[in-house]
Amino acid sequence: MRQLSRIGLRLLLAAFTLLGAATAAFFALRLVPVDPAFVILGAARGDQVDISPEVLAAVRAEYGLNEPLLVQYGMFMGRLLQGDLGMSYVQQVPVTSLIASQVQPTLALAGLGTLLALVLSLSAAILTAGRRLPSGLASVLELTAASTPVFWLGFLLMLIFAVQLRALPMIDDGSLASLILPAVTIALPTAAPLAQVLRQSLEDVLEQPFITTARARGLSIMTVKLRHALRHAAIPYLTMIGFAFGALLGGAAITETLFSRPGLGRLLIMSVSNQDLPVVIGVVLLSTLAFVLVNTLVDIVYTLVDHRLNEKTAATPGEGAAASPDTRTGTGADAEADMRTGTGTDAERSGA
Amino acid sequence: MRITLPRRRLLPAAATTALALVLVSCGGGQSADAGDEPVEGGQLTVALRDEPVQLNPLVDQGSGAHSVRPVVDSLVWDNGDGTYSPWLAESWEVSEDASHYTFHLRDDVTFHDGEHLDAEAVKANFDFVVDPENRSTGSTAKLQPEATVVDEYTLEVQLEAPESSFLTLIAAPYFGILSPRQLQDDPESLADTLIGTGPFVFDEWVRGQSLTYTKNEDYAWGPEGTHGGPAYLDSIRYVFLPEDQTRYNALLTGEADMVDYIPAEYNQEVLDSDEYTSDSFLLPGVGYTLHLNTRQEPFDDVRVRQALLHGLDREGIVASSTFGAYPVQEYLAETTPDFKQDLENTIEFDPDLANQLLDEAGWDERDSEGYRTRDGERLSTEVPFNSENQLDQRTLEQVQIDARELGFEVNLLPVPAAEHSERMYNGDYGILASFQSESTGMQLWRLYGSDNVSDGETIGSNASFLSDPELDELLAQARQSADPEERAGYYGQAQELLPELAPAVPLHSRARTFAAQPYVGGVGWDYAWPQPYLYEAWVNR
Repeated sequence: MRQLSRIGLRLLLAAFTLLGAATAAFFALRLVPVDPAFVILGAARGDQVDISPEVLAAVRAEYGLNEPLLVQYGMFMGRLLQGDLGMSYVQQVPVTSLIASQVQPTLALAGLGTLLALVLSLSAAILTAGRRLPSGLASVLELTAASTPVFWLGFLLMLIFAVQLRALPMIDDGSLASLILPAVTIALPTAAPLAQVLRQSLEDVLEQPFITTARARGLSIMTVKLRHALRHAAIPYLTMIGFAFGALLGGAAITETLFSRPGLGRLLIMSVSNQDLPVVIGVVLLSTLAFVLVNTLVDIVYTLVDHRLNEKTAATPGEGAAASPDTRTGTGADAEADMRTGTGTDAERSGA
Repeated sequence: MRITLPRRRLLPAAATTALALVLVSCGGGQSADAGDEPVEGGQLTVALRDEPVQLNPLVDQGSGAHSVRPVVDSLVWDNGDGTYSPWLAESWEVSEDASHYTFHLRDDVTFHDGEHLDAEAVKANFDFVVDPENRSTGSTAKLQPEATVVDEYTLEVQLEAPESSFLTLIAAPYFGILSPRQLQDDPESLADTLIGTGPFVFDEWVRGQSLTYTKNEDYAWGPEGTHGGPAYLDSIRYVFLPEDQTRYNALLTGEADMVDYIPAEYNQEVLDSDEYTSDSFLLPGVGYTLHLNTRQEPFDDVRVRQALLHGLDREGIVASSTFGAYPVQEYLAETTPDFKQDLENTIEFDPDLANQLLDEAGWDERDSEGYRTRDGERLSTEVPFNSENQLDQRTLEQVQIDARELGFEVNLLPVPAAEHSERMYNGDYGILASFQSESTGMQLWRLYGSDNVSDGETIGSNASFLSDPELDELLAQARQSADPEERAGYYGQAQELLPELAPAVPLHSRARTFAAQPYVGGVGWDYAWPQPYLYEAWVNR
């Protein structure tokens, strides 16, 4: 029940976040000193077009641009609440259908990118944690990957694997092969900080007494890492995934532009540059929604991973899991709890 | 550097000869293995820079015009030298003052939806652009053409004012003839589907990725001088690669059979390459020009404008900002049909003259930073520019450096594209830099004629706000001259006069260069709005 009301509160907050995002996007774009009528007439693309007063008047009337800004905002929010995002100023099609056509390619890119990032970060962290030299080496590589601009990284991958080696296609043709380079491009910078965080917390956990106990029982270091340490080290990793998702959205925009792939990121960049206000708001709303969803999901996963959160929230309802940095490195009590249950991770889950 | 095709038509043999000529003139190259004879079948993948924001060519002259030509035909074909050939119209008559046009249409043309092409169908297209509801901002709409059906295949068009370049405007893809059924019954669909009479039929547009056309098997009305029948290719697939480097890479990886808009930095390399066939066409018109706002200080003084015109080392600026890819031009690019070949009043780089003019204009003091002043006020101006365009930025930075030499402060102000146009219409700038291309001297009227000054009621493209009766008269005469030579004569006089008025500093012409894999043959040029013409292209893999 508590859990339900917490999720309910989360959803309410999410709804407010969305309305806030819509409002912020509306005013941010309308405060730019650009007449939307010019945008609608294609003047924003830099062509020196001639516009007759009749045409200008027709556009102003059709889009309600003669109304005061607050009235326009009211009209916009009214339509938005009915799920109507309006027509694209520039592309002359409904925003919803424009966005719908661009969701799938971005999902494919972000999906494969996330999968790669998870696989890379998990394996890099687990394989190298606690081993001095590999750990240091991996750390340097990760730092490099994390601090390399996505655009540059993608460009490098393109030059090596598409232009030089001709191993992979560069241009999107709908095939899985053409998805690989872009997906690696967004996966690497996402995986790097994830691996860093996970390794750090793994190494912290590995120094705990209960690990020594487990080792003393004759378990191999890999078994200990996978069965004991990982669960304890998972919380900061999960928190990081929530943040990484935001970076992934930004990375997708850059990657889509570089590889000239269809997708929401490219649509957003194009629409911002064209001052296509309804499309920008649509994409901003969708990204906000995705971000909120992922973080809510992460929040729920926390409680599955660490049961103490349920107990805590029972004591202080509303306190989110993200606000539990003390779970970061497995405290003494934590270690004892683990010793009590021995290797019984399954037992713990079934007891939930 | 002059890199243009001989103005020949598109017979395969002629095209091959032309290609060979270009290859030789560009310093070598091997003969293409596309062969001399067209090969049937196959798909041609063409990498383009700009994706259309919407397809309907009758609405604007923007990006759609780059990629709709295979689907739509025009009434006439522009030969690029001021003459025209029959296309959907078999013949036509022009009134002496170039304000009244009569078209006699072919009687054997069908649209892709089965509609028959007749005078009513063409009238529907003219009516569409005139109706303010349809928000057409193209050149044709501006002329307010009033179409009248005379009989089934005869159409008369009366323009609001004479326009001797009318045929060039309607020969361009942005007056491609669309199905009257689509225009009248389903206008909403025009944004993302096109039904024309062209050699290719619209197939699919995957936004952000590609636009595919398939062969029109029934096609039998190619422009005069072509083979006339169905296209050789089975299909054309345009892919949109806005990133210059990615687009160029697509040529290297072979993922594109043809790459259009080779970036300036690779222009010469591609033209010199043995591995690809390539061709380049200098885009006609007013080109890349700095328009000086004559309504504001300091450019309200003609001496200051002349000083900038002669005080900037245009050769040097253009050479370094375009990596030597594009040539310097006068007020019209030399490929413009009305360009005056024996122009006497050319723009010379003369810093002494420039300094003298600035002294005379009263800007003869210097401040602590070395800039000129008058009554304690610094000689300074502002250039808003679209920060996404690197070529613009490089060019303007060079201008800034040269102006500094004259003691003239030029402030660069990066703004988003939309704000750029807003400022343009409000006259909120000292200098406005823009690239303008159209295949006619008429562009001088659009850019420098007082009819096109924005004044709050009308919105025009005269960015310098120049209003000069003598120039206006010459431009009006040119627009009324149906005879191409007479027209060119008036436009020639205007070109001699412009350096005196100095409303702008012309800088470079841009080359549109494409490169193709050696197995691609038969690519020609559509001169009305210069772009590769793929009707007679083939692939021989």
